[in-house]
Amino acid sequence: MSAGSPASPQIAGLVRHLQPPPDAALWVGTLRIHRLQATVPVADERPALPELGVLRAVRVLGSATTVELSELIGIPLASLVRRLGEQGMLTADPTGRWRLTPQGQRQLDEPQTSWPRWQRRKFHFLHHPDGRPRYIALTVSGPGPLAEPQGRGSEPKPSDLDAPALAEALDHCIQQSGDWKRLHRFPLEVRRMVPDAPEPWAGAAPRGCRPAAVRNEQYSLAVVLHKDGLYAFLASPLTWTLAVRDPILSLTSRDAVAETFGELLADPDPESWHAAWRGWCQARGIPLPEASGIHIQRRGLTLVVSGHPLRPERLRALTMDEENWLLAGTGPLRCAARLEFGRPSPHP
Amino acid sequence: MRPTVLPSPEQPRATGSSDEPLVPCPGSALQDRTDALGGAAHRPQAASGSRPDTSDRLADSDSELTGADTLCAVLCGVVPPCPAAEIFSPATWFDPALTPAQQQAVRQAVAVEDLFLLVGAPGTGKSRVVAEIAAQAASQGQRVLVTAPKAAPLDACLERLQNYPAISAVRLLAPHEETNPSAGPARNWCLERQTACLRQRCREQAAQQLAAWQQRGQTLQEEARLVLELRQLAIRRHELDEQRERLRNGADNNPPAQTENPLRADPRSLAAECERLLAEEEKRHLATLNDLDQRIQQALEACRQKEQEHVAWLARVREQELVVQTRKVWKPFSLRFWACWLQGRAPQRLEEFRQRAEEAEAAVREACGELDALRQQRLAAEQRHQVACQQILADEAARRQAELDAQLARLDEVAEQVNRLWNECRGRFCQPQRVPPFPSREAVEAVETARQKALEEQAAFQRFWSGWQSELARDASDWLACFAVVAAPAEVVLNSERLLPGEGDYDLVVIEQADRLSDGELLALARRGRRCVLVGLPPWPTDPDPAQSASAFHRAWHRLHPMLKHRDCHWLETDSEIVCQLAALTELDRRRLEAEPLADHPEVELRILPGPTGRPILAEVAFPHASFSIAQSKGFLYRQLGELPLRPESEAWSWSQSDSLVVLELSEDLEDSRSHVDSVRLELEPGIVEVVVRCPVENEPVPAAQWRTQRLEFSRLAGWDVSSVQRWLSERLALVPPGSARGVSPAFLDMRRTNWLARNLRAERPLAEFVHACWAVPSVRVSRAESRHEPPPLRLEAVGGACSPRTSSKTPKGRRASDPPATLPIDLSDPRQRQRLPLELQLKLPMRGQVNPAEAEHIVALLSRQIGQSNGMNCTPASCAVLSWAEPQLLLMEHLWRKSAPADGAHVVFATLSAFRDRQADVVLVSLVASPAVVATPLAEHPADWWTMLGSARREVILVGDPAALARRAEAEATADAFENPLHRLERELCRRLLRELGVPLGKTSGVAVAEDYRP
Repeated sequence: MSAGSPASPQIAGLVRHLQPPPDAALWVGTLRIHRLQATVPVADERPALPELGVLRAVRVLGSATTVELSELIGIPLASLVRRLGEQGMLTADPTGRWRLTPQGQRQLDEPQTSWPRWQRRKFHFLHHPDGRPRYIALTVSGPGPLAEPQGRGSEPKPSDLDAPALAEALDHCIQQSGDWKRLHRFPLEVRRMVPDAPEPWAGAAPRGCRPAAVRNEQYSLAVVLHKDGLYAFLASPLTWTLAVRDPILSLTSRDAVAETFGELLADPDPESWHAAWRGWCQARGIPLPEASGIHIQRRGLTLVVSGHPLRPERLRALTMDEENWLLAGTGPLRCAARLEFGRPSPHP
Repeated sequence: MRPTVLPSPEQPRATGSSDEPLVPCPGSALQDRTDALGGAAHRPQAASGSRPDTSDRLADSDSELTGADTLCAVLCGVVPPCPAAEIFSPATWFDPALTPAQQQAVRQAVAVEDLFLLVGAPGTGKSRVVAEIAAQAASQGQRVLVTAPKAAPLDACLERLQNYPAISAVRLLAPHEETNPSAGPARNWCLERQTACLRQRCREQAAQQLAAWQQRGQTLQEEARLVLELRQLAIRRHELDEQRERLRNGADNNPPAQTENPLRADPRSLAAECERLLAEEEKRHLATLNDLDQRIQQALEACRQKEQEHVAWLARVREQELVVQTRKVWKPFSLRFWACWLQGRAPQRLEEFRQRAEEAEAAVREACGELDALRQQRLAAEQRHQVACQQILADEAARRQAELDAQLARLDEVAEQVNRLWNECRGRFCQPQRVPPFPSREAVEAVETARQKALEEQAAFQRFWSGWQSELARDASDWLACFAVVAAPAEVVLNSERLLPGEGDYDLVVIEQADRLSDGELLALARRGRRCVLVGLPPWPTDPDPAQSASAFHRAWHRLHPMLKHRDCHWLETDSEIVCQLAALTELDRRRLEAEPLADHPEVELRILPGPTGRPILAEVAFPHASFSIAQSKGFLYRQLGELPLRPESEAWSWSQSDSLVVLELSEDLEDSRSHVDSVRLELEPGIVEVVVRCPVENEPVPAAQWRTQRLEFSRLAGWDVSSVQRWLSERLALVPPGSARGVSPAFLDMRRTNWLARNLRAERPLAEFVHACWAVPSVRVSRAESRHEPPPLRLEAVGGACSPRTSSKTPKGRRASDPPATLPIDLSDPRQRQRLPLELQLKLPMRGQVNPAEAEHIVALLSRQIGQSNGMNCTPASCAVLSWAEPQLLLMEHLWRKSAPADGAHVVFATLSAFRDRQADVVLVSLVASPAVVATPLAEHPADWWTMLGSARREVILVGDPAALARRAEAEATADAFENPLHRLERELCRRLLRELGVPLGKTSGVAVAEDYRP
């Protein structure tokens, strides 16, 4: 299980399928991401008429089955009744007869009460060394713990966060301005997080009202930096092939990128590239004296190495099978660049 | 957050005999050779248990996994374990015409907990299955979202759902559909119209109910009077009952037999006559008693006198006896003797006294006897008196009883009259059954209570219905929440947050045409529901690397339902040998095969194909028929390779289980497969049996038969269960682990999450078999004996006609000498070529694209002939679809068709192949608009177009175009690199198969036709 960094051919395979293709920089690696699943009220809409009609009908009847309600109102109501059950307005006894809950009763008695609409949502937070997780609007939930290094999957890590910490982070996001939310694609309709047990609904257990759940996951990502933003692609942790062709994270604002992925905006220092180059040479049996004394210049996705002592035919042999990608850096994401050889050294 | 690494269960290992090792013999010649050939044989992972089973690690997750999560995990290369779901068995099938295979798909889809993938070629009934899935899920109260990138499958689903009144369904329109007049069917199902329909139904119901409840209120008011009547009747009845009770009590409380003189207890109840009779009797009785008492007194007196006399005489007897005794005892010389003697004659006197005493005693006895007689007379008199009194009383009681009975009878008559009145009154109630049938005050109270309760209920319902009715009149909201099934195009689902709730709000999302969606779209759509059913076309048969498929749906399919590594495997039997084909070979490939005998079994021949990149491929293994049977051949290869190359009977695989067996069914028609007479059972190893069937093969160079595998049976007695069988299949059936290095990720045959509908049900039998043969059996023609004498279901009409092309002297490849000369398409963007068209067409047709006027004319002629035939036979005109990849060609054909005054009632659709997907017609005509000179550009824009071309027709497919164009594409050489357009590869293979099926010869000659001016 290659949960670390991809090999050079795997990076080449990734780059072939990235759409939009990277032009400024490509960062590859495994990120630690916390996923909070929590119940949030997403809308405060007035109830639609059918819901009210069903509640009133149940109140008039005292208790009724779905079939009786459907026959009474005159239209099929199975899904609507079930939905009301999930919202805590109705509760079903073991015989399948629906009754009003106190919540439903209150809804009918107090017309000004807003109509609750609970949803179970997932919020992803990027782990950050400063301990304050950064919200990221991922469009998918990855395989999570599967990318953990072998044998350590069941061990909690120091970087793991619990639900209260993430709830605090979510609350921090909720309190941000609308502009911030738009920049980070935080859902505007989320205004608060519901505690675990919002209402003492007698006998009703709405689907959304489960305790908040946290998963600390690892995502194998290829992060593409463009002039207009950042796109992150999910790769298979097993093979480093592109798992989902479309980006799972898009940040089109430079500010948002700087806030969330600030470390990616700065290029790795030249020494990192030199170290990567030396590692590349060492893996291919090039003596260290030959690998040193070169000049490295990064141009977008390419790393131009000039002043090297290697002959063209040897270079061709070495870079065959797409063995020409380097990774530089020490963080969880490492900058990728394709080797391009400039003028060789005049004194081989 | 501690995923548990579950220990992998022990895989049962059948204890094979020592000469039949389960793993390939490391030193065997075939193994060595296959290793040298690049590892044609897949090695089972010997230490598969040492690596943590990633699929198990998700089982302990504490957060909810939705269908989208599972899909993403599958795309990432991980298959979460399928939660054990109950087997879904519906009470009724909404569509009773579903085939067993389709029903199985529905069962799986409704029961699955997260993700289900369904593939099927056009015409296999996917839409039908989708409608049934939606209906079954909705009937359980689930909310279902059906979506697709195009509208056709949604409308097809809704058309079926409209037959089920219990299922409420709605269609959300895409923006372009709201104004497009061609989207008529969709607009019938749109939200506004469906909401209005529901609201109307509710209004009607409300009005009806309100009227009914108002009527009920009036009835209840009227029943108040009836209750009063009931009350009076109940009172009257109560009085009668009391009276009766009193009468009964008067009689019953004095039973004559229980008291000495019972009538005296209640003298008021005695009649005067009875009193008199009793008095007379008393008097008479007293007189008798007095008389008897006097006589008894007299007898007593006499008795006493006699007693006294008797006693006196007894005393004298005792004295005399003393005297007599003394004379005997005392001596005569004594004074005493002489005294007695002086008394004289003592013995004589004693005897006399005794006699007198006895006489007195007799007199006493006589007097006592008289006294007893008198006493007996007295007792008898008293008894007689009692009997007389009882008789008098009995007579009186009988008289009184008669009198009581008469009174009770009169009371009964009155009570009966009251009852009759009660029932008459009861009958006037709205619900007579709720009024007790017998009058009583309690019944009246109960009726009144029920009436009061009904009044309250009526008031509540009347308030409810009147409020509901007025709100319905005011309401203008959409009723989306009321619809159990929501069908919406993908673009609406993806872009509309107003109409559709957010993540996971639907219980089930059914995504049709999933293979046409991008990864992001597919995941975003899947996120809408907790469970997800993806429906699409099967993976392309020529796709060399499924893991790199452009379609996320197909990638997920391959992950969950991996292909056999030897997809082109065939077991052929000729007169001389049994050949296991491990790779598909063209005629050219076959000529390049190199034969090599196996070192340790020289009679077994390996046929090796030198690969284009220098890596040889083991293509065939030939066993001499003389020394190897099919069982021996298969057993030999299985033992040597450690894997089982097989040709399944169908792509639709399924599990079946019994108490003794776990069976992997590889045949679609299970009934046929069970009863097949040519089937042979091969025991691969103890506990595993492969059942193969021999199928004759036609049109091969030598007579041949093919052995196909119907099923694999695993004995539970040998320790096999589904999990261990799946593991065995992954290793031994040579399933390709897609997208990963061998041994890194185990291929997993998850057939609870997948189903393949293989049988074409749309087309008539010849065409269905033809299409099936074209797609599913790539390199071997299957016997179609039934269709031998029927018209061919697929024709290739070579085009000639109006224009006279200049052709080379040679007949172009693929074209018969008898075929009319072909024409080349006209490139509309080329002004010189465009000028060859009439001005009218130049103005009508767009500035880009290609047209082939000759093909267009030919198709119009074919259309006229089709419609004419239908009219001539007085049958319903066949629905025809004219398809093409070139939109200008469609415009041209439609233009020509309209100019030719089409017959009334003819239903002809002109559409591109992509637009016609998921639609059907009796006859499909395809204008190829293909030039033999151009092979670099693929004909189809999408691989699914080929499915559409072959699978949309019910009766016949007619290809119109230049056979040479197809032939050139069929013979185009494959490029060696991995970047060859998959469409080219698919097209090349399909053209080969099509031409072979059509019987069009492929030659080496080439010729190019040049079109001249077009003059219609």
